[in-house]
Amino acid sequence: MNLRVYHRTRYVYRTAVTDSHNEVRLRPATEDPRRLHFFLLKVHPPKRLRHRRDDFFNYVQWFDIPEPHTELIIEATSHVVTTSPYTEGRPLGCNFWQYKEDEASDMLHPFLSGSEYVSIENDVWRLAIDAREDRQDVFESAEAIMNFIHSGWSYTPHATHAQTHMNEVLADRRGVCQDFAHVMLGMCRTQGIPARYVSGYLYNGPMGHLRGAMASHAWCEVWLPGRGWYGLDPTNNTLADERYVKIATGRDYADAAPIRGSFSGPHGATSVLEVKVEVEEMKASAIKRP
Amino acid sequence: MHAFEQYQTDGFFDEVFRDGHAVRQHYDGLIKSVSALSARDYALRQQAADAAFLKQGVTFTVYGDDKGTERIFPFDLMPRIIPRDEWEHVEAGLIQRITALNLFLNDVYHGQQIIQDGIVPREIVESASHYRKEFRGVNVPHHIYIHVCGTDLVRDDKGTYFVLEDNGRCPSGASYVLENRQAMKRAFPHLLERLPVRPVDDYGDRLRATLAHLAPAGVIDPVIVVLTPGVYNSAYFEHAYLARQMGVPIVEGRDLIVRGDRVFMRTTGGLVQVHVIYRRIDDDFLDPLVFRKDSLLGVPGLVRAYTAGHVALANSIGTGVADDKATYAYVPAMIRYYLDQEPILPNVPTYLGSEEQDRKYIVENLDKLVVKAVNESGGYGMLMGPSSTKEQRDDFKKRVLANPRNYIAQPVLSLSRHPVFVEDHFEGRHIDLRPYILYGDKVQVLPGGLTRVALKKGSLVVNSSQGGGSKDTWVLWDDTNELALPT
Repeated sequence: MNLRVYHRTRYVYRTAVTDSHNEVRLRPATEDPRRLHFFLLKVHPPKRLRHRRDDFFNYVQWFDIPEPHTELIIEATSHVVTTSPYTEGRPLGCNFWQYKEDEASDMLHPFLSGSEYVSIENDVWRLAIDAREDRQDVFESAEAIMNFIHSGWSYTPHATHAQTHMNEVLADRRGVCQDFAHVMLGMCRTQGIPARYVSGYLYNGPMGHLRGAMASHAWCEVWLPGRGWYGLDPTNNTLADERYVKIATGRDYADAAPIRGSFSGPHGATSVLEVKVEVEEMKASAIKRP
Repeated sequence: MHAFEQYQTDGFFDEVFRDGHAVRQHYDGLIKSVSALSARDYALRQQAADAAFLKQGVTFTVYGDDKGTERIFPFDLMPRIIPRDEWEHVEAGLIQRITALNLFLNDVYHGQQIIQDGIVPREIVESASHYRKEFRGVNVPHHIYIHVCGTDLVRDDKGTYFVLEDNGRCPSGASYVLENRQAMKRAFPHLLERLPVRPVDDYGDRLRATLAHLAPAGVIDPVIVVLTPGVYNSAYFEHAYLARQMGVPIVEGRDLIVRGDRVFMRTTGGLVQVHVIYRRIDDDFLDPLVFRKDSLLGVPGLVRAYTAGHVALANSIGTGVADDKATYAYVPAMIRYYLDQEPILPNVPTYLGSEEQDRKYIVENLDKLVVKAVNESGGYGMLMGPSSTKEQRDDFKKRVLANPRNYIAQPVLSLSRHPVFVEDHFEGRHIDLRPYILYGDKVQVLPGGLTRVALKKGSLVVNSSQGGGSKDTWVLWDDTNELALPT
């Protein structure tokens, strides 16, 4: 799909703040760079942008605003051509014992352990066993976990916040995309399925009903031995196909947050936070011909 | 009509024909349909279009010419077509470029980091005749300096798009884009509604929205005006036309008055406060208190009202330092510096008179280069090396050596060509492209822009003041070859 993504975040501060340091992960990650037709980040106050790659090879842009300011706008525009890894159907046929022979196993360690927002305690393991029932196929197991979360948790905006730990989500059984992704990561990891957190966007279409399309979205990817990463979205109980635009990956939200920043100023100085996300399909032809 | 039988591409990159005579896919249907018309029929449609331009007063003025003040801008009926993929590339490059230019302007009028980091030499910025030193430290609305930009692009013999120059002061020509499209619709009624051509007629609305974005905080329904130097200006037609398209008043300096750092417009119902001025007057004439004291075109006190934040100007003051032809050479470095990206659209290689080695090369190779005065536009003050006489070259050599900062030189590009209707057949003529970029809440590019044609055979100069004409420019929604003129 040919998608245009516009993502704007605006912070307004009650009093002028200073020494703002920001890192953003907003550039669509495409395996083939030619699929990213356009990307531009704009910040106000205008600042020079720099970039680096982080430990997970995410493209990180950073900028500093040392002088006093009362507003910060971060605006990213991209044109990206997305593809689906599921065009030839679901990737069935991977068994758990194949991980032992998988050449990538060294690289996968971080995605099998607990992390800042994800725990792999016994109760999580228990839930995952219940969800899997007796499935031996890796992908089917991951799907079953996704299904389990989608039917057992309620999508409730504002019940959680950006720093909510997965354990709280397990207890309350409600949250938003980020929380469901964390739960799914924990459950998959306890079963020995390497799983990582994905930040990105979701194209909902003009008549769509998917959740998470109004803001940046989050879902999971699981590693299939000998095959690679495959995305699953527990919020919508959907496979992450060409409607999904990936911007960053990591162990959890802490690694892959689209925007991270700090400033110096009084506690609670941020008075307004506005986020606007538009994901549109750039149609080949918008005009009907007779 | 066997209009293309004798057509020669002469080894140039031709927009329509590839490898001599094969028609490029996106022109396929159009060429078939044009060929099916009789030469007489085509010529009649061309004449009707010309007559319409004159009747409606779509004219411009040539300075230093006594053959009458106003001329029509010659229009060639055969449209230039840009396929979707190609346009997306151009659009991306333009958005990147205007973003970097605005960051540059904000920087040179504030902390000047780019100079301190040694990316752009201080002399280049501070010796630019449009650099306004007195504007350092002034905060402009939303930190945007160039709201309307016209960037000139050319294609070389391989079809690669290059940026020839940026026009970040008062770029003109957008009205011709709209008028050319109207002329196409009249010459070939029912044609465009059946074709996947992206419309341009919402330019007035978009321009208005871009201007409204600048209004001082708290003003919900801003009063916007177009400020023109008056009816004798070469682009007066355009000023009036754009004001009409936006539905806003057009004013001259004497219609405005400043009271208490606020700008008011004299109307029959009394004074009305103005919030945004789309000014089509150069900086020099804007305010006699700050710039040229003899200016009768401007508004005394306007600059003070602007710095006080009670009125917004588009474009801002001092943007000329960014479209200076010497600054131009540093734009790719600016893009890398501010955006940490590689430039999408390349520059034409440029030799700077101010650099010793470059200067030496320029004076020794005047016959191979195009030499331009850095602060002139519209094709004035320019030497076309290969077609120049020895006297002209000697004259330019003296000028360059006397004032090296004032000149740059570029190799002569073999510009792409496009068929143009001449009497009863088509001949290839060199063209360029000036897209219009609006920088408001978002950056948007008018699909296509003004394709200018050097109508004189063999000429490379497309400027209207130097005998250029124009074409309608079609950007396609998709890469179809189903384009067909009704026959």
